Amino acid sequence: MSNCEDITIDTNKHSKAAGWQGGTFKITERYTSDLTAVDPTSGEVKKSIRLNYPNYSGALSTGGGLVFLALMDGTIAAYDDTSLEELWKINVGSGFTAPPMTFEAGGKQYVAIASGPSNSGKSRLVNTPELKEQRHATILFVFGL
Amino acid sequence: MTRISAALLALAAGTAMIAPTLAADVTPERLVNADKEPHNWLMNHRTYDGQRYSPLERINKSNVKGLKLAYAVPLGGGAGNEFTVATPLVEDGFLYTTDSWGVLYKIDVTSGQLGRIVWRMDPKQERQLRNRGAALWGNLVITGAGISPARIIAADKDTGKVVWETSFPDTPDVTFTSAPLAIKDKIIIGAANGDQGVRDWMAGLDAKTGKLLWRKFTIPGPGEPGHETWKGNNNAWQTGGGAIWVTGTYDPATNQTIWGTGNPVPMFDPFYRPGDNLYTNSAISYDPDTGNMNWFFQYTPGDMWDYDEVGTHILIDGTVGGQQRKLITHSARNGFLYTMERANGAMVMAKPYMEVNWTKGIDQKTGKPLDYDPGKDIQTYAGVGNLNPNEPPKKVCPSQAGGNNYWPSSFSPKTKLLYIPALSNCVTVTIDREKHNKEKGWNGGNAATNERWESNLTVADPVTGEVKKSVHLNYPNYSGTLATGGGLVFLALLDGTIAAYDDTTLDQLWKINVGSGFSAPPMTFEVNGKQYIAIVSGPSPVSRRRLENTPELRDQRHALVLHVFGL
Repeated sequence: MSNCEDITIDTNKHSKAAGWQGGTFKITERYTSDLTAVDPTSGEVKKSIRLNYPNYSGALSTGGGLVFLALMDGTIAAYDDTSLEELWKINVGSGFTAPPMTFEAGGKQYVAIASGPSNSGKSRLVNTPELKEQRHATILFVFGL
Repeated sequence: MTRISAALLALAAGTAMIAPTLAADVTPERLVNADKEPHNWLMNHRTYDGQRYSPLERINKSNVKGLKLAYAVPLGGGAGNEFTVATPLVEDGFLYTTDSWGVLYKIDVTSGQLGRIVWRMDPKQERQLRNRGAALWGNLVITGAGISPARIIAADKDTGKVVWETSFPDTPDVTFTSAPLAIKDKIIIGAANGDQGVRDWMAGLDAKTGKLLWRKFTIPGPGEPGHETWKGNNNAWQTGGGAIWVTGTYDPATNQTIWGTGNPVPMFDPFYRPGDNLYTNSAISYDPDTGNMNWFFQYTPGDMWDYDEVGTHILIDGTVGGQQRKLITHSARNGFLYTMERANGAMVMAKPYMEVNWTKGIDQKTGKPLDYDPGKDIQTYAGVGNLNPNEPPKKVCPSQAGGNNYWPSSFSPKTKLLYIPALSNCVTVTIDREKHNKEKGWNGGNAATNERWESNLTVADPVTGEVKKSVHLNYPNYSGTLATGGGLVFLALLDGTIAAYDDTTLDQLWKINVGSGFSAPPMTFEVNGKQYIAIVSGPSPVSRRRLENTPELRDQRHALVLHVFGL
């Protein structure tokens, strides 16, 4: 996620009745996200790209030199693991809050991911008017060549 | 320049239309000429002739193997087991469809990369019901919703706001499951839910206001011709069905609209309603302006197998005896393909397109079953009716669900052939003479089988009735067929398969499995010079039951999703 929020403390929110949040957060911006490539030994940010929708799914990197991710607008995309160029994408409508994975069967490689966003995943679309009418579905998608 | 001539000019220039900010009105002229907007699908069967043929050919025999999912759009979201039986409409890059909540969607498909829901009109329906889609007229999108009372609702095409809503509180138990048909300045609708002991009807509404202009019951009341075909002491005509639940066709040249009617109720028990039970299981030609009946033809008089004939009555041109003729063809639920004269319903031919055993055959002059006896109150036909409870039950073919049924056949004017999606099973039907009330249901019996439900894709010449080719498919087709100018026939099955066939050889050229079953038809459209195939998954409760003898799908799950495929 690439956003900031305003957080206020509510000292009464620490019970079953009032909830255990201890405060609230507020945001008027769109929630968006970054795909950021970092050297974990030096901490150096090598590259970062901004994505128009929140990523509640994760990233999968493969020996094929690809990084797969999925976004709350229904996009699944593959990036070059060095240049972070987008090499492929598809939109399946439903948002994602689960990570992508890959496997091989019968000599063919597949990329698998299940759609169907969690409630808090969906709540990140609060300032995204073009997805106001978006619907979601729990579906396992399997992609192959 | 008028909107329509602008549209035609854009077409003449060979360019795909760019969607205007505000969509053009769907005028009666555009509907009559719907075939001249090849990129669009402006009404339920695409054109008034009901052929479900699209001339689009960018996706064709040579490249269909490269067809893949372009994008998907989940619908629904209110509960489990959501479904649809609707054919989406597309006008200039915007798609309109409905779901089992009666929710009407406008989806922007102009990008080719994704489908964005522009608005949803939610009629706040109490429970899930079948809904076969919408009609476009003027700046309105019109569909049915709800029960007790059922409503016809017109929404503004740009905003989704309800413009008018009409209910019929004097017949509280009807539903509206077929997509309305817009003809000139009227919206033609049919009432359904016959199997719950309802007397159904057809009506014409004023398209601008929704005001009821005419209404005709499909079952004649006392004093009306045909009432004498409801004998016995049960006043069975009052609960006799005759539902209208698939959109009819329209012939502008003769100003007649032809609709198929549903079965008599109780569906399996003729003893409750002795006689022929007019006008159930019939084709009826109406004058859309007045609702007056021009002619009718009844397929299976005194039915006891649920052979209702709501399926499309497709208008075709054909050569009969060396003469060019205007015809109607209908792949009937009772297993026969009937072709008749468009002007009066006179029989051209009726031949079986599958295994049939309930009758010895059809009289080629009258169209009546050879073993039909007008003197009998209860028909025996070929003797498989299980009319005597002391005899062991016999199998009847086709099954109570057909044959073909509401899932549409399509006709290609290129091949002049009809592509019939048909269940291939037989069943055992037993009569239960207690089942004719609200408490026990109105079925009047039961249909059962231990076999797998499977299907055929059968190609027939609708003029001669000759079956040219047939392929057997492992799963039921509750979706229908779509024929295209690319020489392809698309269909979808309950196991989640969508497939494309060569329209001549019936070779399977492409397929994909999306897991969820289908009970809604495929359609095709073009936007920005690219052709797409669209179909919504999510099978109806009835269709899911057809998987009862299909153990490998025991744990199958379903989802209500618009799938759009492109090259």
